[in-house]
Amino acid sequence: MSMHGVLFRIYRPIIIPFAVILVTVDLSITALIVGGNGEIGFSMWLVLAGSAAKYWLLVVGIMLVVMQLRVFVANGRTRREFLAGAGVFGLIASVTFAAIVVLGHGLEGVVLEAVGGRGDGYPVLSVGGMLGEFGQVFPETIAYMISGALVAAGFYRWRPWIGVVVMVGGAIPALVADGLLGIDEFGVMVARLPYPAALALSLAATALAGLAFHRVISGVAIRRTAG
Amino acid sequence: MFDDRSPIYLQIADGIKNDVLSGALKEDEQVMSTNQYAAFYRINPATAAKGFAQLVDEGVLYKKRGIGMFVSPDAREKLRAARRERFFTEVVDPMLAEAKRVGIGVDEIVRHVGGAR
Amino acid sequence: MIELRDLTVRYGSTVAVDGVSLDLPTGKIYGLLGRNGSGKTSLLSALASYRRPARGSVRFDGADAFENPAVMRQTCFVRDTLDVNDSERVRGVLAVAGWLRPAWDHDYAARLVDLFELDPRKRISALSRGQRSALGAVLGLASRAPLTILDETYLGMDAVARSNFYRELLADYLVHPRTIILSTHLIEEVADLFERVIILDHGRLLLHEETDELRGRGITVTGPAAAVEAFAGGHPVLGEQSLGGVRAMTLDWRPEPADIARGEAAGLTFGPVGIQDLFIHLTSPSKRLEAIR
Repeated sequence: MSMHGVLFRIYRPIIIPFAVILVTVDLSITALIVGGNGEIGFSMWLVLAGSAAKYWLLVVGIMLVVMQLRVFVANGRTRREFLAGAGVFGLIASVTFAAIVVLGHGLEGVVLEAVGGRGDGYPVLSVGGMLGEFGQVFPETIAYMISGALVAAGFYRWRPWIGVVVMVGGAIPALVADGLLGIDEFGVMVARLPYPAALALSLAATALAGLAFHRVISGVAIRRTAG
Repeated sequence: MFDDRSPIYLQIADGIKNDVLSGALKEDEQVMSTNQYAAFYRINPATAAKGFAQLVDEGVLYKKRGIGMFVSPDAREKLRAARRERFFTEVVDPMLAEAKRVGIGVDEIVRHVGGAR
Repeated sequence: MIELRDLTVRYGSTVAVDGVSLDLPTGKIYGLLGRNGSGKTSLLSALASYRRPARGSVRFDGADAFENPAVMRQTCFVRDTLDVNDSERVRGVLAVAGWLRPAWDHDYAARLVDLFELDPRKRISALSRGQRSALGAVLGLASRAPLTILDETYLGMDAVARSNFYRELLADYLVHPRTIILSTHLIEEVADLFERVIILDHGRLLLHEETDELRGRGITVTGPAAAVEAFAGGHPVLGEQSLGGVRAMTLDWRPEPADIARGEAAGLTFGPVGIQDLFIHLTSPSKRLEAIR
């Protein structure tokens, strides 16, 4: 089985319940608001799923280093092989999560309109708008994942105080992506920078952090677990 | 079983020689393979193989290619001859030395042995 | 052939393994012995590429091992702490091994799980020390890796489990010969399985010998002090003690029967030195202590 295939098999039992909880919470809150006010003026899905996708991938980035690296090395894979597999896994996961955020937003708009609960301020998403929104969400999801991985790698490889220093650098992709590409519950970009420039800066920060992560991990000693 | 006071391969060789002498292993009878022997006695197969190789060198066993190892037709006779030779130097002489230390005469020993018979 | 050349492992300023060079022909069972802190686990970590050596190299058939996919694929290193996650279940750990290990034998793993009475549904965090070791034994054996390294994979196992483990290890080795390295403190229990023994002491290689060569390699001579000393001649002394005029010396020497006869004639008695005793004599600091007194 391919490395990323194994990673998906490992994470499947975690992803599915997580998605079920997310959808349940989103539907419940939206139903409550629509039930109370008769309508909703923003995208609850964008709020919940948008942040869930980012933070979940941040945690996945951490877990890849803390939990999966040694399992793969212990089962006969090199660190570089693991990094390549984790890279493919991370890319697919980031794209999928971003796509789910955007498609869910679109679906939410259609359903709200059908039940007559779509308020005035609600960010209606056209098909073209979907692509634009994906272009904002995806750089964020991948940035968070790389941030999580690099922060964890610093602590994995070095003593805590060096880990703290690395953590500051590791936070950069997430901060840059949030600051330049972040969107609010109305689907509006918070920053004023033109999109192409914001995208380029965010991807550059993520790519640099990714390279740093590769350097930190590619020769690292596999830690013993206490016990 | 084996102890670690002397090399196991020598203990293996001695054990099989004793079986040949006692008749437990007949001439031209197949002996266990080294792997069977290793698994049975829980020892490293290379150690077992060394013991068997020693016996082949000494002519106690012979190999049939692809089949296994067998007791040489003249093994028992050769072993008996060798042991008989060693009997006096290794068994009787030390006994006589001990008898001398504790003051037992040869006559007394002969009487004792005669009585035992 | 696995070659260690001048292998050195450091943790900060602490030297755990100090310039060890070893040639390990493949297909044998090796016993790695050494006292606590002698560098066994550090040596094995470098051998299995879990850790890049500070100096020196590990080569498999001439190829450098570190981050070498072909070598890693053939290596299985089971540490006493196990490289699994506490939140996993036993069957999950085995499933991952099955997905990643090229020669994993699923049925054999299931048989071993039965043999060791492991509950596949149990979480790793709920396993006892002995059950963790048993899981390590399953991972190590069912991987069928050409180089299998088991680092004290018996901790907490009871006598029955250990006996089962040794029997399975030997039985599987006979059918699937491979290089197996066992590190252990239970020398007397497993020495019969080792074709060769490696002893580390203070991070250095003390000895690498055929196990059978160590059996009866030493001898203990007891008797009147003068006679014992005369008999000992120039042979290396591993240990000695005196009580009144009686002296006992452990010598690193295998005397001929004629020597023994001569000694016995002079009133000396002889005792054997087993592998464990030999190990204790070779690695014990008591000689130094006696010198200080």
